[in-house]
Amino acid sequence: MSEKFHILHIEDDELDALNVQRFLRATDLVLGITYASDGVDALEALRGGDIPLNNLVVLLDIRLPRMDGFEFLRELRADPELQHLPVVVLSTSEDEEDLATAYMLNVAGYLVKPLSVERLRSCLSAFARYWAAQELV
Amino acid sequence: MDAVRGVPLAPRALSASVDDPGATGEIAVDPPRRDLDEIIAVISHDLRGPLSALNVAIDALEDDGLDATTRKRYTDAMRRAIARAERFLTDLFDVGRIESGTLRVELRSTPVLPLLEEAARRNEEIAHQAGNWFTIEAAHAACNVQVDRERILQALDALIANAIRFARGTGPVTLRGEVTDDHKVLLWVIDRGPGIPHGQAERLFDRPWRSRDERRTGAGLGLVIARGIARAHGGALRAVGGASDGAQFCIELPVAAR
Repeated sequence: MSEKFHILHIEDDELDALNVQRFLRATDLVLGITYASDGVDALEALRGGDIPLNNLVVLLDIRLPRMDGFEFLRELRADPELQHLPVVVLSTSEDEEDLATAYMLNVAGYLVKPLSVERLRSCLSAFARYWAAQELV
Repeated sequence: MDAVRGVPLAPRALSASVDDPGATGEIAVDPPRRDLDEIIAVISHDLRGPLSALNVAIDALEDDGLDATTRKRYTDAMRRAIARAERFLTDLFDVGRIESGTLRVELRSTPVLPLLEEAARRNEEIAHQAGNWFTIEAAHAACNVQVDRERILQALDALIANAIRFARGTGPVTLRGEVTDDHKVLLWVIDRGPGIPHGQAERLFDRPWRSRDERRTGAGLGLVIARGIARAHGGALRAVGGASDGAQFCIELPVAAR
């Protein structure tokens, strides 16, 4: 059972991206981080085979240019090759409608910023069992 | 208390007015109060995000183990985050002036071509970083327009920022000036991005607290301000172009006497 993960981090704010990626590295649970600044680039990377799909966790902001986080999730869930990927929303929004929409689109978690190393470690740890179960399918 | 019988009082309902409560049993919150609540929510969200990120970034800078390259990336990103927050506050003041009708413009006869060239020059770097560049077309190169130069450049900046945000990496952004037969000057910003979904053009000018979709795509106040500036000149701003045709924004202004 792998206890380390590839991360696809989708975030348009460069300072948030730096902060989260620094925290991710500090968790010691990360094999590698692929960064995309919006949903369009993220889907291209996923569909283009640029990212290993096994042991992948997608960390997704909601407010994004070109394709917002929810549009990205709809595209992902409609794609037979990608629909199983676990997605965790990282957002400053505590809007109940955003939360409900995210869970309707089967996100595995919704973390409100600001984040910490401990919160990310705790969140990522939960995916070891998920990916172990996927390997058995 | 009759007015609110059977209705749980939410905190915001304390300032609510009630429309025929006996018939509906529902509280109608005053539209100005609702606007204010939504504005405050957007402002606090849009400022809390960068402040929180800056706070975390300061912790990173205090880490002695941070390498020089990452430290430089951090300080550059922090400066840009502060500049964006300042811009946001300035934009809010401008929206306030536009909505209260107090946005002032000082009109001077200004040649169109140098105006477009200046707009391109000051946005050249962000365009380059995004994989875009400018092409300038001015059929009537000697034409003048009656404008407040800085305000019109601010409007063009907003349209260009919007183009680069949504058409990133799609190549040329065209800045075009033309004169119509009915003596108007049209300043166009045209991109080759995904375009504007049918029926959505007018919604682009909604203030972001009115449009959840705009908030989710991170759209700011730029288009609202650009339209306000155009109107303060006695002109207009409109968006044209369907989905997949790219987006076209046109500032329409009265031509200046020569």
